[in-house]
Amino acid sequence: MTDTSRPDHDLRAAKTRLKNEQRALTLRRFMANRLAVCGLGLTVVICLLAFLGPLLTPHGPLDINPIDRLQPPSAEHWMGTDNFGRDIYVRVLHGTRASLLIGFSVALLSSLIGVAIGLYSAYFKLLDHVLMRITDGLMAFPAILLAISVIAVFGPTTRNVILTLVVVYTPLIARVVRSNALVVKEQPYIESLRALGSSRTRIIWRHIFPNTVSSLIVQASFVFAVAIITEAMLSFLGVGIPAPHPSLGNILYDGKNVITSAWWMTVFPGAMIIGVVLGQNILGDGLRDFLDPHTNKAVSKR
Amino acid sequence: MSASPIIDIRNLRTHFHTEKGRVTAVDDVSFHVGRNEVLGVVGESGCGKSVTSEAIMQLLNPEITDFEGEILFDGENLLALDEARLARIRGNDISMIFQDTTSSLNPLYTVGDQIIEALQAHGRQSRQEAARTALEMVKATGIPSPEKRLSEYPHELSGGMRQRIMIAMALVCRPRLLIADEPTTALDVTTQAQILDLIMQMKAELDMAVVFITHDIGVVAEICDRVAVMYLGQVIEDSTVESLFDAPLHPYTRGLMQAMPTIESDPAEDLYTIRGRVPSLFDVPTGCRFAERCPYATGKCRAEAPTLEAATDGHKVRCWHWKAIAAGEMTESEAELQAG
Repeated sequence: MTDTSRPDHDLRAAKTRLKNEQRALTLRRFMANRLAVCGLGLTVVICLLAFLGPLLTPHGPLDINPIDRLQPPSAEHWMGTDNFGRDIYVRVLHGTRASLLIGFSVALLSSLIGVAIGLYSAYFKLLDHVLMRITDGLMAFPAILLAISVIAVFGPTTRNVILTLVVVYTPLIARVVRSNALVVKEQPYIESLRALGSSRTRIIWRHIFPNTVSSLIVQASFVFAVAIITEAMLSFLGVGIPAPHPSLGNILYDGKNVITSAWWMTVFPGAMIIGVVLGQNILGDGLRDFLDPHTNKAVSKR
Repeated sequence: MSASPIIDIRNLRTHFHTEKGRVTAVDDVSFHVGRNEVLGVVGESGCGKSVTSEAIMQLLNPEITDFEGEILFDGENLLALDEARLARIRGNDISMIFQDTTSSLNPLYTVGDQIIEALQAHGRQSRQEAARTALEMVKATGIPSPEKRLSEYPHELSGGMRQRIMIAMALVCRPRLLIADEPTTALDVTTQAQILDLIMQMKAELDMAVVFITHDIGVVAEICDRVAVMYLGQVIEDSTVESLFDAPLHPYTRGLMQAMPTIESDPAEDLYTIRGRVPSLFDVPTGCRFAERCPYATGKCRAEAPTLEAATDGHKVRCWHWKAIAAGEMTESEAELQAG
């Protein structure tokens, strides 16, 4: 009894060891990808700051204090105050939080919808014609203009901003997923699955979808970044997150009028937008290098 | 009852709509496979053997393909079935194995998962049961340490092992007909022999019929009961293996046989070649399709297309002059070939 179970046990232990080693190797490969690590680091720092940073000061994002208005950065107000005497530091971090939530929701929702559209239009030709002409139309239409008109009709709420941006950015995801799925669909193993009698749904979701995930992740991280910029633009134009709730865009808008006398009102939110988007873009680039086997070789050769 | 064929293809035509126009890749193909019989389909690249097999499985893109004729599987016309019924037949009653083992398995799943998938696609078993059946099947294919192999990914296996896995996948639902589309072409000769043995052994165990598509006439001689020789989308000769190798009737088949080196042939001598090349499917000759390359071709061959006629019992041929050629009354006429 013990004689037979012993090598069995050894084999299992060896297998776990191998698995752990492989995991460690993957982690090392990711850590060796400096771009991805920088992007991830920047994004994590900004997220922590956005959610924990406001706890460090007693000020609230909506606390008006007319006496202290347009104060330059000081020990009391780390990034100065605005024209109503509100603390810029707290407002920027709350704005960042709103931006991150919007960016994340948009990236997630447009990925979900975009994946379904992309996969099914790769598989069904008629559907492809209809869906791709719709996405063509959406992509040809200026995103900002579409967003402004939708929000003008339905009202400027955070939910409407998210939904509009999802409509605008779903085509970007759908296109990438579709082009990947078209390639995978022609692989012989898909034909052999059909020859085995696998259903379409099974082939699409279990076999084609996992093959498109790596480019989906990369594209989603770019949508995340672009959605944050667009949200800031919309807020700047007054059709994004409604005042007085802080958003990076409407802090910039408030700062625009006093830009010559109070630089801190535009510099800090501006820097934050740059930080968030840069972090996301670098992370996206790094992930692409990490997930794409072709670029991998280039990295390891260096 | 047992005399009725498992699959009976009647006057199958397959047309593709391409940018250059309509192409008939398979033109008036008829053959049948009896129960527990091995039919070899032989022909060079582009003669329509793979298209015929994909037509049986209905794997061709229906948006660009038209069919005529009938493919009767156990009396049921596959060309008239809807997708749902077809999905139930594929993999369950008719299975297929492919030439390219590298790309015919999904690189993202272990081979065990993919065999289980074949079982679950037909929804008959729980996952544990399916895993057990898969293991049995893989054991039956003679792979060393089957338990270990099941948890490996396709890239970790050799070509021969992958082909065994493909066979396990195709046979795990115990189909009644196996279509093997050049399953040994990508393998080295020793592995080829093993895979052929395996297919024949499985055929005996599962009591199934096999359509074996190949361009290797030696393989045909070894394992098939009957042969259909295809040329440019048509069956030009259909016979038992013995009859075909004893007395090939069609000039093309005769050419193929002569082109095969044998152990007695003089190494210094050039191998026999069939003159010319296969015409394009966009430019199919009006008469006999082989006339341009045939050493026996006459004016009648170029003007009128012959039909597949029964020469002897169980031996059909598509040639105007098979009688004369077989009797030795006609000789190869170089002059006429050059004139035509």
